Amino acid sequence: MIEVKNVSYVYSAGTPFEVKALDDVSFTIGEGEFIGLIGHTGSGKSTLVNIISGIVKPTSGQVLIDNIDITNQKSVTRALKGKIGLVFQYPEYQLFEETVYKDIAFGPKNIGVPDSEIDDRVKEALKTVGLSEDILNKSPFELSGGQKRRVAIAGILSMKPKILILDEPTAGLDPGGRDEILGRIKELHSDYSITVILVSHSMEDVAKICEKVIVMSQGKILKYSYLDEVFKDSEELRENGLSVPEITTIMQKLKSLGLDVRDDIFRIEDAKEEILKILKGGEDQ
Amino acid sequence: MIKTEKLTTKYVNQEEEKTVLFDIDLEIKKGEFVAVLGHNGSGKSTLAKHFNAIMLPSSGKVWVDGMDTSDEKHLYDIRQKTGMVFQNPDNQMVATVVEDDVAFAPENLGVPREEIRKRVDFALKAVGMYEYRHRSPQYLSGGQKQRVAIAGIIAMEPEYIVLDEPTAMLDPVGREEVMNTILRLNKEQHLTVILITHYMNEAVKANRVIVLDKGKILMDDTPANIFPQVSRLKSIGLDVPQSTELLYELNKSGVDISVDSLDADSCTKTIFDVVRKAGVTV
Repeated sequence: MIEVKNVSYVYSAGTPFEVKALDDVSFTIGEGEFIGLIGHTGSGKSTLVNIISGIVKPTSGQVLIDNIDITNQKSVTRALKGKIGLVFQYPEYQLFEETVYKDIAFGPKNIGVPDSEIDDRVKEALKTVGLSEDILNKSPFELSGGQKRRVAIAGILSMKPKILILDEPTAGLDPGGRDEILGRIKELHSDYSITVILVSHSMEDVAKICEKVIVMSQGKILKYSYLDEVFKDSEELRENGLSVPEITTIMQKLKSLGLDVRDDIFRIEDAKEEILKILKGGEDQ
Repeated sequence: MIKTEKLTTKYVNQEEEKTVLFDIDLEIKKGEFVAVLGHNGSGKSTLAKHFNAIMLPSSGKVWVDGMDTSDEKHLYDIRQKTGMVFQNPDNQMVATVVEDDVAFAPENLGVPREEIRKRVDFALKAVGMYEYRHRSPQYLSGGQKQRVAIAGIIAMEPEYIVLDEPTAMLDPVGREEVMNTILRLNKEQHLTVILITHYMNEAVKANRVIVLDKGKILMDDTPANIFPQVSRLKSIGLDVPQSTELLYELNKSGVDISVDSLDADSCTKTIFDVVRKAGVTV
């Protein structure tokens, strides 16, 4: 469980450039939840995930991960020991080893996983991201962009995190690659019941796989709720630099034209069913 | 006009030779707004890099306004004619003040001082960033930075602008700002736009869509003719706008509805008409 309590973060404190990136933020994420984290550029998303992963210490406030206070530890890394995996934006730029194998093995080695176990972990992580073992001896730099990104994600999964945070994992990927990565993350979540936080600018991606959404704006939490609740208020999202999926816009427009349809739909499948239902109503009359 | 004839490109490294583009024949006329789609590795960026001689053909030819890109004496003229904007706005900023950044390219081209002032002001107004001219780029949002990068190209007075996934790193509003800027430049300044993107709702705004697959041109048509081919596009790892997909799904479920809507407004109208026709009272 992740408990964020009254967390604030100030950049360049005491200078004219002082910016309050996070302003008294509190929320809880339960074990095994799948959360989308959305917000305009500069809303504080990245600062927040950096604090949750223990990379950055908050200016004030507390973060508890499974009841361990990570803001009050001398060595956060030791306390967490790979419990949290953070996949940065464009993680493929962080590949550095000579071979794919060594790159994926780096994380577990670092947190002290015994050598005998590492081989299994590397292979399992590789399988989870949908790559075959014949690339293990290749240099990561020979791979295509989509493959590199999957290797980078495997390098995090090999540490077997309980909480997986991904910062825009699909940016710059083609639709096929995007669906592939999202599908793998979804599988990971359901097969191993790990907690997932997906930071994204794509409302369509969030609508596809998340259960709940945290909406951030100017360092504060604007909303934290289920998808339908969040997408219902498209005006408020727009005012805060965001949008709703195109499918939601269509349903809201139909409703404003006077059709008796739900305006909180965010998946194509549900929109189709809703319209079929309306059409059936017409035949019955 | 940008023209390619039997354009073929090969990458060679120690072990293997890989052909990225095969015999591409293409003409892009002045004033067009062309979107280029294709999955990662389909050759989109490679193709675009030929339009300002960053890359040269392994065989075949590319001409920019009649100038052969493989002829070195045209290099400066070609680079001035075709400007490029890339994905990451932070990698494209060179100065610490917005207007200095925009002035960088014309300064490099040796444009006289007075003229630079005019061009910089014009370019910043064209992208709606004039009010920010004295700011430091580091305090701008992603969408604003990309617009400054576009202004830097406009200040060179190019004929063609190639944008390689300019919105991939932006939030929804930033994406919209950049798209509106591109559309306006195309309509009002008659700038020829070549936009590489993975967002289908951006591609529908172009007049022409080119779909690349495995280094070849698979489709080349208007968005209205391309996007209704839902299953074909999906089979090569691409997507369609959600509007088109909804209509396609309704059609598959037996509803008599046409699949040619590309955005939320026209999709809403299409559905509304069908529902009314079915006798549903509103």
